[in-house]
Amino acid sequence: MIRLYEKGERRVAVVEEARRWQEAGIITPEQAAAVAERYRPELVRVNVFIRILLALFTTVVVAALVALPAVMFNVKEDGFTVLCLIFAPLCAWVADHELIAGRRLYRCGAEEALLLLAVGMLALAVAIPAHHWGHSAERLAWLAAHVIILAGAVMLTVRYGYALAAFGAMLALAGLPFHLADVLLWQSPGLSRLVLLLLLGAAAIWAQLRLTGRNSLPRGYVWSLESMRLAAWTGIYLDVNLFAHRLLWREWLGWIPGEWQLPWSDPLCALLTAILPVAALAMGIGRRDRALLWFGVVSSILSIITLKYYIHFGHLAEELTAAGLLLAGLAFGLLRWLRAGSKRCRGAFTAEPLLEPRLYGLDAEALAAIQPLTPAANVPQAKGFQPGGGTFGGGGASGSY
Amino acid sequence: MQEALDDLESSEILSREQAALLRRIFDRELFSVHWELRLLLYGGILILTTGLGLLVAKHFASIGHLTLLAAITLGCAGCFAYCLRHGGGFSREKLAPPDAAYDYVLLLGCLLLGTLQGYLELRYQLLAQYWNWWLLVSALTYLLCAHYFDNRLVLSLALSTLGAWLGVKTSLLGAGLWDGALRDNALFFGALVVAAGAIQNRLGWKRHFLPVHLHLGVNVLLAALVAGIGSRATGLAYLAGLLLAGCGSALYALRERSFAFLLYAVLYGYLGITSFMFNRGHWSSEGVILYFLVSAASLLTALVALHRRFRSAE
Repeated sequence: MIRLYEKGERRVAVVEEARRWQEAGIITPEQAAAVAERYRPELVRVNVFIRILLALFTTVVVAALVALPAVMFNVKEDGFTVLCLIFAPLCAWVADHELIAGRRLYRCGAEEALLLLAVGMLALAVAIPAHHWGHSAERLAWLAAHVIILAGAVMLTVRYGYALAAFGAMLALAGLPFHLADVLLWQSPGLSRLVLLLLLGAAAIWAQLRLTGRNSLPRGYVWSLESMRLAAWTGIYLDVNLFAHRLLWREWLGWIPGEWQLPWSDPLCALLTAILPVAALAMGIGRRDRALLWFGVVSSILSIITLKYYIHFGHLAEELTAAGLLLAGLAFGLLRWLRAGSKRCRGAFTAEPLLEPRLYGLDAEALAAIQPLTPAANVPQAKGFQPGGGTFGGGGASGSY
Repeated sequence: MQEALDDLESSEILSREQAALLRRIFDRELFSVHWELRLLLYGGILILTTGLGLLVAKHFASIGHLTLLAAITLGCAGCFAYCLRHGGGFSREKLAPPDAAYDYVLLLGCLLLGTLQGYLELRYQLLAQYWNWWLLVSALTYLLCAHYFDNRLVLSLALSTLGAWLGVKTSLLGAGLWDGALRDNALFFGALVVAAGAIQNRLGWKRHFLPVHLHLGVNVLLAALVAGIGSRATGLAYLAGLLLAGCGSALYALRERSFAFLLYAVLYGYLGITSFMFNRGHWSSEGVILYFLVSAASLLTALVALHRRFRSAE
């Protein structure tokens, strides 16, 4: 289906980019209007907030449609399975044929919710009737439901390029080793974490390799791959971060540390907690990759906060003060260093704002919704863009540099 | 995107220089780390002020009160001196900050001021049982700083501190009045924030502060109205207020093409109406499901129709 709309998606991307160029002062409003006219997309684009509402109320309608006959006819497990088996393909059919192919409503929220619900209902249809079949069969049925969700999310990602489905697929993949350990009665919980690490590592490497050709991929696939890569990095980080490990695995999941724990695993995990943010930052700088840079910055801050529980350099107050001074000083020093460079650049890097950041296609208004929590963009636009003949003209900055 | 840039350049929509600049950005020959450094600075300042607060609490006896007071005061004064020296002074319009660190130095100064006030109260108990007035003093100081130094981050801090003062003040009234008084204060606060933003906008005074006022004010106002609907005595009045405020938010969303406010109006409105309906009657299971089915389907239809009307704006 994404092939059908690949051209339309590209046109949407150009129009959205032109809006960003205008906001940064690189092009005039007249030029932005000319771009929008030339690349007028045939797809119906839905505002992100209306999309959220459509997804939410579609979910309510489908849930009510399934629940109504279930309550009216007092259906039991088997009856509910039949209901799910009727409604799942119906949802998928309405989303695919009626909304996407028929009304060209692609990424409108409603069709995304319907497709996700279809996968969820299929998984429930497998898992719920196993209630009667005994404990072992029930566990296997829930494992099968887990696999259906994983396979369904992957299929939705491949066919439609939905980033949310890709994220769901990564979550299902991350949960699989623990589910397997539960069903197969693995004696060593440490093995689950190792399998998780390998699975997420493989997914991160695969997504990274696919992203090298991002310029030739449709936007939906790029967003999906970005989601997968970030989710994999986050999963790996949570897996090796000792604080998260103890909070998530031991306290929430109720695992008691036992003999399985290798004596060197804690120091290794602490080392990886320190190394991963640095590696992400290094890769982000080397490849000029914004997603990795953001991950590196956020995970650095988290590592500083959490590592002190395991490696005692001093007391909490002194550590936090020193860490805060270090981070703020580093950022301040980098800002000054970059601004002092030739044309306010050092190599390819500049601390000046160029284009507003975009979060998976959310427009400026979506970011404005969280505006009270964020600093101002501070992009002066009054003087507009002063072309510099291929040199750094400072998109969005004053014409003086 | 490269193909589009070539096309736009050959069709003379973009000049050669503009296309060249955009190519450099998309090829990552020119890469801005503006937002990453801001995030790092913001995180660093938050960790630093947390650490300083703990440091003060832990070592005030060994370091000495006067030394600590002097250190915090000096740090605070240093931040404000930096902002006064580098800032452009007061303006009714939006001001460009002199550098990317400016906003965060101001934030650090404001947070240190809060630490100083807390320390003074803890050590000398200047206001004793009226300690909550420090919050009002902080809020007003932050408000002044936000307007003088033109900073939306500090404005958010000011408005949330003002809201906290109203909440704390209410908590001192006594257990019996707590719920109702808090709701009324939240209503007053939400309306005040929205009204202040609207008046500023009408007067042409810091118009760019309006979104901060509206996002915070509308959320507080609608949440307080929803919370009041459960009351038997005044539920109907709260529902009427919710519908009125929700309509206002939705109309603003449609007029300004700012659909976040439509989301607020629909979600809070649906929650309020649903709560009102279920509080005022005995519903069977089928009735509850039918209610959700009919209401959600109606809203879906309305949203699709609305979207068709505004699709040109997307």
